[in-house]
Amino acid sequence: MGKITGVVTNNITLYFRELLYFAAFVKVTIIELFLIGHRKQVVIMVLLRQILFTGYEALKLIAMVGLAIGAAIIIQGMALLDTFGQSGLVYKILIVVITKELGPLLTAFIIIARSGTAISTELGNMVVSNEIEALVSFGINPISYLVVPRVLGMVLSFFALSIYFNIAGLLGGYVVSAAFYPIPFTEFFSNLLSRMTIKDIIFAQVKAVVFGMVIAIISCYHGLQVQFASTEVPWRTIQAVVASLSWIIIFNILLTVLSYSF
Amino acid sequence: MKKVVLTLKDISFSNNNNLILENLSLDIEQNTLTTIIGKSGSGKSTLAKIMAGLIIPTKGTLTIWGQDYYQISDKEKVDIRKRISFVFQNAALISNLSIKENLILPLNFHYPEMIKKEQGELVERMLEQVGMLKVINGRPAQLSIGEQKLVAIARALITKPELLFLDEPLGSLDATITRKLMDIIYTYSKHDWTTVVIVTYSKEIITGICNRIMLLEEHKIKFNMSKNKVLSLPEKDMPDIITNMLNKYEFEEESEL
Repeated sequence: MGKITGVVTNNITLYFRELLYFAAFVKVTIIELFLIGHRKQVVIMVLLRQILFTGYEALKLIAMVGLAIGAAIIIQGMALLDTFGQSGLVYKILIVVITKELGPLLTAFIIIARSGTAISTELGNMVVSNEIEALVSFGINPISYLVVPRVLGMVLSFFALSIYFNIAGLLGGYVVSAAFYPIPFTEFFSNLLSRMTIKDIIFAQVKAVVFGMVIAIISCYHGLQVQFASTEVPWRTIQAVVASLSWIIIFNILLTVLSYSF
Repeated sequence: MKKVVLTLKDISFSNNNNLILENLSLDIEQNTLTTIIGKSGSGKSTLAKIMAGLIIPTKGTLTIWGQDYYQISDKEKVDIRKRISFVFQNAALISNLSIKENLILPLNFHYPEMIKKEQGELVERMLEQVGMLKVINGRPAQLSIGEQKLVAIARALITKPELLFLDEPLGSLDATITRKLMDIIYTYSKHDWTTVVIVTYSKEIITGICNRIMLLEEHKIKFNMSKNKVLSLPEKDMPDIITNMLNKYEFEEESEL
């Protein structure tokens, strides 16, 4: 019995120690984010590479998913809402689903799978091959050189991808509705815009910023937690994916609730 | 009496309750080339990393150029780091940067005012010195470990460090590259403002270019004295590890059947 209590106490202590360490990591990252201007000469390449990888190279995938979701909403929504004589509601559903909910969430899932895993794997391998120690030996703080540009690049990329996803989703909706329920382009978009509020756009983009930051910080943290062996890298990457997904779902609920309280 | 650049006092280090170093104290004097020797797993690399401020020990103090390294501000640490370079056992080149970018990185950080043209010329000069100019636009993964070590030496020397640490610089290198690296290290150590610390098993370094030998045994420094003093020890007092390093390997030839 005493042994079990000991193991449980030990695990709880380890959990809280890791939590404290993570909190300190987040604090240092946020402080270093504000100091990026002082280190721009060193971090600019890392930042541009992150934007290229997360923002630009994911564009095709995001656009395809956006088109497919927009098309699916129109096909399912029109068929269902027509039976109630409420086909006009499809625009509101398109905005709620694409702009406010599924857009940021699906973009987050794609970015976790594509860039989050890449970040934690890359940083984990850098730890194993002493590259992080090499940076420290120059006096370069790994958080300011490796974490901050990745967080900033991820946030900027997520912000842009969220807009792309919206455009692709709404276009997808139009393409399908034009094929099955012919409607002029201007009428479709004026119907959409008349139902879209500034608040919808702001909350969608707030989600993009928050999600981008959450994914990048968690992925960097787990990558840098690798200690010695390359076998730790996939294990830490899986932990990064699980933690990112969990926190994204929690933040999505919190931000959605918050958006309805304004 | 030479000036002391680095002092360790009562240093102990444990990793996961595994004692590696115990109550070590030492001074490193300016313009010396010290080798740290010891059996595999005796903590030589750990000691070098503690001396370079890369690992925080469990206990003890590190003083570099008169400053207590664990008490000074981050800015003061960066000023000290500007004067130190460390060459890792596995070269540790940043894998997602080109060779040129690897050399520019410490320059960008410590000398942001240096113009790009000047940086480029300096990088080319350093790579030429180590015979690696031909790979300037390549990636670390395209090079052999020996070539990576040459690039790592160039990266370490580009900021003209006053204190240079090398962890197993000659491991797994062929004779030509070994010779080239020894020449580079020796030439560099001849400047009166430099101090070099090398972790090595190499007979060439011990009998050739070094002037102090530090033996690490059973978590402690067994001795830290001049090379001439060590090499003139009577055979019975000579530690096995040095005798084995110096002796030519001999084996009995089997008679032909």
